[in-house]
Amino acid sequence: MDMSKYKPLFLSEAGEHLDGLETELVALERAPGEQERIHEAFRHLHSVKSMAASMDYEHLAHLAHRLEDLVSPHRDTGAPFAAEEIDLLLAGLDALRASLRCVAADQPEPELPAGLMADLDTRLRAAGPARVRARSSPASPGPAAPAAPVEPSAQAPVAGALYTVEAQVIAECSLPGARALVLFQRLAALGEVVGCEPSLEELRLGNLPERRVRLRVRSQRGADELRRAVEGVPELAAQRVAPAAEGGSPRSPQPAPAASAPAGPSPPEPGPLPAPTPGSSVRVRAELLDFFVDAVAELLGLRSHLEALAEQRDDPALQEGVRQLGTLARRLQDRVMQVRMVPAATLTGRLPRLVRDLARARGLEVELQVSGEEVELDRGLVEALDTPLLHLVRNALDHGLETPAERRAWGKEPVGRLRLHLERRQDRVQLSLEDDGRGIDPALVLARAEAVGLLPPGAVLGERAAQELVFLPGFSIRTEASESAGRGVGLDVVRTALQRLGGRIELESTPGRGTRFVLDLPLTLAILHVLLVQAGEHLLALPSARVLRALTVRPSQLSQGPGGPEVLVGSRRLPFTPLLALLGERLGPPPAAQEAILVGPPEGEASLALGVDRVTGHREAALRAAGALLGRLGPYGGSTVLGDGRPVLILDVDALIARAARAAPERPGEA
Amino acid sequence: MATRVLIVDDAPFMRQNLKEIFVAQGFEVAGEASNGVEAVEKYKDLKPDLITMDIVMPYKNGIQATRDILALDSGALIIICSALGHESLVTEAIEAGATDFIVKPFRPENVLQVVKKSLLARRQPG
Repeated sequence: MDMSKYKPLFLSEAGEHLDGLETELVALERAPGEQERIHEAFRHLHSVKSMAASMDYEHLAHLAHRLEDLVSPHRDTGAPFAAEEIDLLLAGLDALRASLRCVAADQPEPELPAGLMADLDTRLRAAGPARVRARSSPASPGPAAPAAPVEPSAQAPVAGALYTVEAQVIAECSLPGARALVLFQRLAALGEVVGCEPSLEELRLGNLPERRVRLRVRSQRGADELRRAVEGVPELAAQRVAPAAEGGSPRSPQPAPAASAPAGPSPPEPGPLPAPTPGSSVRVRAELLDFFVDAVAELLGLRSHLEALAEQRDDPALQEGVRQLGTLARRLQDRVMQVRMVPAATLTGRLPRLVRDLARARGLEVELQVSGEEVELDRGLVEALDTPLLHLVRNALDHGLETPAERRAWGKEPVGRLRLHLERRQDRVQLSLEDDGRGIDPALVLARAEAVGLLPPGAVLGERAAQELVFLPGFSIRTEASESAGRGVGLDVVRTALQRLGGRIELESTPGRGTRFVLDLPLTLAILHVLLVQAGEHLLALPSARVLRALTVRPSQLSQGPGGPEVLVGSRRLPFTPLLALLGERLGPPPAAQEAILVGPPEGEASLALGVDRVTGHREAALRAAGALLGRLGPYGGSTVLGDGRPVLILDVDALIARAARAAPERPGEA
Repeated sequence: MATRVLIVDDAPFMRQNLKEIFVAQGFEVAGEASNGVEAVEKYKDLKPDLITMDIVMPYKNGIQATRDILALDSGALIIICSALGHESLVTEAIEAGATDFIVKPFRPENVLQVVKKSLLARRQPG
C-alpha cells in the first residue's frame, strides 16, 4: 500500500500527539500519580506508535513502543511515575520529535540515540520481565479481546452447501485488510467461514496482497443471500459467489453461474492537489482552505468593483442584485474564516515544557497557568505569534522571575507565577502574559539606556515612558546575553512582529511586584481592508487600519520645514513626502492639488503625510504575504488582486515611515 | 422518517465534518458524544439508528464503547471512524461487532456509500 500520500497527515497528527504528550508529562512531573494524565500519555504514545508502524517508520514505531512499555504498567497499576521516568519519557519525546523532523524533511529516519535506548532498556529490565513482555502484540491497546467466534476451525461443523466467495478491494480503499475482514464477518453471520486466503491473521495485520480475498463459506442460505451480503460491503469490485466443490480448493475452477456485476463506478477521485503542509492542525487540506480564503476575498473585491459600476447606472434591479451578491459573499467569508480558525491551545501547547526546561536550567521554580486556550484564532496568526510569544516567555524567565532564594528574601512565595490569558474581543484577540517577578525598575532602565547610548545623559522620563524603553532596538537589561534570550534580540523584535500583524503590545510593570505584557491583535490576517491610491503610474494599496486620514492639499498648505516639506493639518505640521519619492521614483512637476494620506505608528498619532495623486477607493483584499523578493524590492508587505484582475502591491507602512525618517536629515543639504 | 445518527468523536472538527455530510443528505443528527462513556449514555437515551464511532478517545475508547453498546443492543449499527494507521484497531473493532468503518479524512461519497450499505445490510435479515 502506498502510504506516502498520508505522510502529511501522519506528520501533523503525530506532531499533535507529541505536543499533547508533552503537556501530560510536564503536568505529571508535578502530580506523578494523576490517573487521567497517565492514560492520556499512554493514548498519545499509542497513537504515535500505531501510526508510525503503519507508515513503516521502524525506528519511530520502536521508540514509541518502548516508551509505551514504560507507561503501560503505570496505566495498569496506577503507580505514580518516578522523576527519572519522566526525564526518560521527555528525552524520548525529544527523540521522537527529532525523527519526525527528519521524516518531514524527506530524510531517512535517524538512528535512535543509543544512550537513551540503553537507559530505557535498563529501566524496563529493572521493572521486571513482565513489563518488557507486556506489549508482545504491538497494536492491541488493552487486554486482548475475548476471541470472537469467527476462527475458521473454532466452530462446530455447520451443515449446508459450500461456496467460494472472491472479491477485489478497490484501490481507493485505505484499509483493505479491514475491508476484507468486514466481508469475512458478514459471511460468518450467514454460515461458517471454512477457508480464508490470505489468513485471518494476515487480515488483522492489514495484509491483503493484490487487494484480493478468497473465502470458502459453508452456509444453509442460498447463493443469492450470500451475494446480497457481499454486495452490502462497500469498496469491493469484481466480487463473485459460486458454489464450490466439496473438498476443492478455494480457487474453484467452476465458472460462476451468475457472477454479480462489479460494484458501481468507484467514487470520483478529487483532482490532484498540492500536498498539505505538515504541522497544520486543521484536518482539511490547508492549501484548499487558503484557496477558499483567496477566492472569497477576490469575490469581495469583485463585489466592490461591481458596486462601483452599478452605481453609475440607474438600474435598481442591478443594484439590488449586486447588494445581494455582497451579502452572500460576506456570509461565505464568515464561514470560510471559521474553518481556518484553530484553538489557541495550538499556540500555547508547548509552553509548559519550555517553562519547565528554562526554569530548571536557571534554578527557578515557576508555575505556568494558561487560560483561554479555547479561544479560536486564524491559523496564520497562530504561526505568526509563535516566535513572539516564546520570546516573551523566555524574557519573563530570564529577566522577570527571581530564584526561590531571592523571592524568599523579598517575602514572596518561592514559586514564581507566570500567567497567560487569552480573550476574544469582537474581531480582536487579547493575550496577556503576567509574571510576579522583579518588575521593571524605571531608574535602572533609564541608566541602562544612557549607558548604551539610547538616551542622552541626564534625560528625564516619566516612570511609564522609562519602562517602555525596553522596547527600543538594542536595549538589553543584562550585560551578558543569557542563553535563550540571545544576543541583541530584544523586545523590539516582539513589538515589530506584532506591528506587522496589525497588533500592538503594551506593558504594565510594578517594580518588585511583576510585569504584564498585553498583546492585542486582529483575529484574522487573511483579509485586509485597503485604501487604493494612485501615485504616478502606480496603483498601490495601503492597509486601512494604518491610515488615519486622507485629505486634499493645495500647494498653499505646503511649506518648507527644517527637515523638509511639511503640510499643515489643523494646527499641526507633519512631514510631507510624495509616495513616489519613497519608492525611489522620479517625480514629475508637482500637481496643482494632491491627496495627503496621514499615517503613523500603530494606534499612534499621524507622523507622516504621504503625497499621492488621488485616492481611488477602498477594498477588501486577500492578503498574499510578501516573499523575500518582494520585501527586497521596496517597502511592500504583500500583494493582492483586484476584482477586475489587476494585481496591486500593498505598502508596508512601517517601512515607509522608516524610509521617510532616513531621508529626512539629507533634505536640508539638498534644499 | 429520517435516519437518526449519533456522532461520537473527541474532535469537534471531525464531528462537525460528519454532521455536515449527514445533514446535507437528509439524515438527522440525533446527538453527539465526545468520548466512549458519553457515547454509551447517549445511545441509551437517544436510541439512534446509526452510530459513527471514533476509536481513540479519552476515558473510554471506541472499541470498548462498541462492545458496551452491543451488549445493550446486539442490533446496534456502529460505523467505526478511524484515522489512517489504526488498521489493527479497526480490525479489532470489527471483530468486536462493529458493522463497518470509514477512514479519516472523510470523503462524503465514501461515508455515504458505507452508511447506506450498512443500513441496507441491516434491513435484510442476517
